[in-house]
Amino acid sequence: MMRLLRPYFLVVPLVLLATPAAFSRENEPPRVRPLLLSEHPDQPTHRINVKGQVVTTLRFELAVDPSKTKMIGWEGRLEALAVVRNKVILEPLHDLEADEGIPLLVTLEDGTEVPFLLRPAGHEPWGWTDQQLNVFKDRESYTAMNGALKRALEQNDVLTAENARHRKEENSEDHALAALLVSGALAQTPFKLAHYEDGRDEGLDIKATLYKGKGKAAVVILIKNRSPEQPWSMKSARILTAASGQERAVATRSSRATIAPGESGVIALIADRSAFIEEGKLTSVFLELYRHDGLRQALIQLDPDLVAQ
Amino acid sequence: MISTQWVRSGCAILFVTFSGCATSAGGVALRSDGTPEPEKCSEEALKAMNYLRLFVGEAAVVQIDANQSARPITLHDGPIESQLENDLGLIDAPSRLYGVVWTRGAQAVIRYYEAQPMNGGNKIPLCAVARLGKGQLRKRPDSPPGTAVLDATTAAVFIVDSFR
Repeated sequence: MMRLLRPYFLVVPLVLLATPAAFSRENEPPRVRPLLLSEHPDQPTHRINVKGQVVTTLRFELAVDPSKTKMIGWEGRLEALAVVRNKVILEPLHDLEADEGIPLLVTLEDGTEVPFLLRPAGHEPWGWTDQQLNVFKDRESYTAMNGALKRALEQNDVLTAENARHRKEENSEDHALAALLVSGALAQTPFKLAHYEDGRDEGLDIKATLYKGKGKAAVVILIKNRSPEQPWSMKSARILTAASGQERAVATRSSRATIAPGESGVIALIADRSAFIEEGKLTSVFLELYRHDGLRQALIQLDPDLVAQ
Repeated sequence: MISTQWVRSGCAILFVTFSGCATSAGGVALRSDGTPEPEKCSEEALKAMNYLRLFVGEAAVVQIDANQSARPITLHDGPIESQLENDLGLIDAPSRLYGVVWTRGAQAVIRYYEAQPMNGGNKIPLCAVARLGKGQLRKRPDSPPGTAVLDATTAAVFIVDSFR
């Protein structure tokens, strides 16, 4: 085995089905979403993202009228609706298909009719499953305002963190190099092609080019999404030392956040020489690339001669 | 043994290939496993590569066969036209690279002897080989004799100073 690994850098752009797809979702906090009803004609029917055998609860300010609350064409797909005071409880028997949608009409005790459309959670990174939906009709009520404020604060936190990351990356040499490589400006960088791999996966063409630079290694991965309907996006990339599995810094830039079906995208990764040093010696490292759902999409061995001086 | 007269000039090798000499593609003797014997890089190519500062290790990505872009591709023993996908030193993409394929071994061997820039001018003699991943030029087991069916459509081309 070692003999085989010797001559070059081993590039394995194969799906390694080690990580279950649901892994990333199970660790997330519960999805509670406030929903403000609007009477504006631009407002489309509210969508609820549901998942097989996951309970979704709709919570209203007023009690729900069970006799006038119904779904259409739900038989065989969901458990029968359960209405408990001001709550409606849904449980799909299995995941819905991407092109399936089930209309739901909820009638409140004051006669207000609220239409919804049940949709599959989807595979996109933003394709969450709604676990609880707090539906507010009165925008001015305290709970509605509180819900909207909490949501705005959460979004603010996410954006602040993203901003801080961008500011940090802006001044990083490695991110600057990654940005050059992603934009195809190889000639403006010191990198020389060292190794090349042309692979394919189910629904994906992966072309990986390894470059040797001045004390830095670069990997440029060209991904073509051949899947007819699934968009592809990268969740994260990391570098682990081969011997002890310590995580090392890697700078990543992508040409686009999500690669739509039929489209191509480029991901550039830069690793500094220091990432290859373990206990004072240069060592091989593994670059791992994770898909949005937590699946390890590629495993690339980077050998120390990429950063030899 | 290798005919020194053929070895000396890349053009001569191509001439022999194009004229349909079937004894061994490119006029290079074969090893018992069907792969070509070592071959010197012609003086002319060494000189041209030196002028162009194309040194050993300079590399670029090529579409292996300019006539086949969908995988799998079928390579035949004999001449091949590849297309640069990025610049090989001062040779700009999409210049063509002319070479010879040997398919009798476990994996396809491609040696390049000339480049044809797309903005006119003479062919540039050079010495380069195709390399891909770990054994990715290995032919598929269902390859008919005299051909190599490959799952890859692109490969890297590396400048060499001698074919080994």
